Amino acid sequence: MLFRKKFNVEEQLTKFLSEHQGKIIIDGDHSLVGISANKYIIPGIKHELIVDIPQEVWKRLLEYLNITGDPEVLFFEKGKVHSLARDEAKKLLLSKS
Amino acid sequence: MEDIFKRVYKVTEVHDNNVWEELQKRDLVVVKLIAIERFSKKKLNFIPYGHLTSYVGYVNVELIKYKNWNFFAILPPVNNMLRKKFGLGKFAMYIQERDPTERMHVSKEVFITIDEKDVYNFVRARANVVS
Repeated sequence: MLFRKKFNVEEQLTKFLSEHQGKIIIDGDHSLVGISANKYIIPGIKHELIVDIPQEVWKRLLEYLNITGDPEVLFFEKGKVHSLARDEAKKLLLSKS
Repeated sequence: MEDIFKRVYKVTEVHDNNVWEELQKRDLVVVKLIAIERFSKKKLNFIPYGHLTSYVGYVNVELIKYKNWNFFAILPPVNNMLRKKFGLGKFAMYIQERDPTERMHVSKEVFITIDEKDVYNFVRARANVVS
């Protein structure tokens, strides 16, 4: 008898994040960065992720949004933007999966 | 229309006649935007400002305003991406093809290179007439 392997969301997310080491936007408008970055949806996770953002575009984005410091992740929620560390973002994504 | 212009990364207004010098400083400038119907190739009475800015990305566009014209300078590294993809020179035109059978769904977006001489003649002629 064949059994389908259980889908592990955490494992998939960890793999995805290790493959995309750069800055991340969670639930942001893809039109902000356009063709310079890629948008992904991971099965089991409700939020959309924008990754592979070039450094130059990221700097401009922070200036555009008036965000100080050097955050690793930007989380868009109800018209507000939150700066997060990579670990915090992972926890957030898993908590709402 | 003004809302869209506010959303681009930067707006530079040129007041005197040195708009050509200003354009020369940029690597890639989109000087014209048009929308056409897919089958008849008829030009539509619609200028796809929002589509260009969202395709390229709001943070990757600098709007150069001169009198009643708008030039869209594409910032790096997206300018190099577009150059590679469409084989562009310094000046380009954005063409959006729309499919009339699917409620004017956008079926194709392309950039076509424009000769620098033509842009120069266009800008110089208008600048002299208006001033």
